[in-house]
Amino acid sequence: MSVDLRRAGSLMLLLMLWQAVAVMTDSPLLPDPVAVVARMAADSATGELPYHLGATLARVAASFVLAFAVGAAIGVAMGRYRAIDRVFDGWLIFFLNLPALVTIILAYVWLGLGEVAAIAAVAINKIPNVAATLREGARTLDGDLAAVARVYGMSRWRTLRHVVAPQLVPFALAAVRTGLALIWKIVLVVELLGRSNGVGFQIHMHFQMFDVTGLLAYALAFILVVQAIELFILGPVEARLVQWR
Amino acid sequence: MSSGAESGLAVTVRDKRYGARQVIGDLTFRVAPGEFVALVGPSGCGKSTLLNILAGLDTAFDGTVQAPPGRLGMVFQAPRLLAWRSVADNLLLVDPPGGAAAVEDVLAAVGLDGQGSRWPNHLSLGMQRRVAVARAFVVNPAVLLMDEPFVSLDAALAASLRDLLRGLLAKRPTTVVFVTHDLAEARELADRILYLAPSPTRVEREEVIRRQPSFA
Repeated sequence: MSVDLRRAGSLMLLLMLWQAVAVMTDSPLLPDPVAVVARMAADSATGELPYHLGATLARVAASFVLAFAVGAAIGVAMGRYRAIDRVFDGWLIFFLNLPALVTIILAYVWLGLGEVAAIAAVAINKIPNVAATLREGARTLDGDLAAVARVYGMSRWRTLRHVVAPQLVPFALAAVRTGLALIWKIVLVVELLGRSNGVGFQIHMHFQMFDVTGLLAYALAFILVVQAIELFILGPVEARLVQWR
Repeated sequence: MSSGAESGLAVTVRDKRYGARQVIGDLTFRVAPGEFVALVGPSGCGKSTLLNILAGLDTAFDGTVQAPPGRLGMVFQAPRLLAWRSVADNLLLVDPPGGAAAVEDVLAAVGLDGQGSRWPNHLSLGMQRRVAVARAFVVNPAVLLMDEPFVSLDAALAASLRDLLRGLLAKRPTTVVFVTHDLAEARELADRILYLAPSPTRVEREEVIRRQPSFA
């Protein structure tokens, strides 16, 4: 509670500072918060903002699912089998350090300016991250519990579901958290460089028009959606998964 | 484990090595059906390795283990419960032949009546050990392996768990191999004690506590 209050106070301070600077500069290049919120409301009413936000969300969801599935499989395999780890360890370092911008441009060059390239570029940026996190998780799996599963003749599936997966949950949650934060940002760049809808595209448009109010309206809407997902989806899911603690 | 012609347990470990070091050599013993055999020896004498071989967890050895048909129950040094599953689910996940009703019965039998919905790590260590014992009994084991299951408990608690084990075995006899370094515990529970000598582990001598129907 006190943390929430402190955070609210901190945000209020930021808002006041923004308001003060906006009043002092009195320039169309720095609109005050009220103007930005009014723009958000106006663009929501026309359906424009929800449309672009929806396009971005869809891309985030698609690339996130893809990155998570592929990254988790690679990471767990690397954590469990030393031979696989040896082969791919260098790859992991290479891809972890490859700038997102390079991946995006190469994806557009090689796959064309389409949705497939966009999703693939984001996923490729995120896969090494998920893989590295889940590799750590797979390395710490408890051999004692695996022995219990074997002694009592648990099936492969049951062992995976009830013995292995719950041990990976904290690592998966960490990957989801850092993953979303990263993917949100990369999706905007992907949209800015080669898509004709989405928040990134709109920000690009407003930049070309020097429409700072519109730019900030989209940025703010974006932040609100990300926070809402954190608060109303990730938080409760996490609380449920770790209730046994 | 392969099933033998006899219904007891017949174990021969000719050679078990970790790298070049031989840890078990020329070790042979039999356990009659329904007999309780304690393996006693100093710490680090390869008792746990031997038990892992009996459990089929370690197959890299030269020798044979013939076990009666049926399921295996095992109680480890630590309770080894799934912390993220309720007590009852921990038991259900080993596929008890009697299903949920059997789980309730066995929990009552180990003094955990109505505790099935609790999380294991909300229980005391003594209670967690009871759950581990319940898990071993709920599968109606043909062979029960126990690896110092009451170690690091205070004397009174260990004694009460030994009473519990005796009571469970009286109601549902099974073939038991019980590893311990506590001779008093072995004498209290076992029909026969095998004394193990270390490096490489072998049977040094045996002591019969109670007479059991032996192999014909």
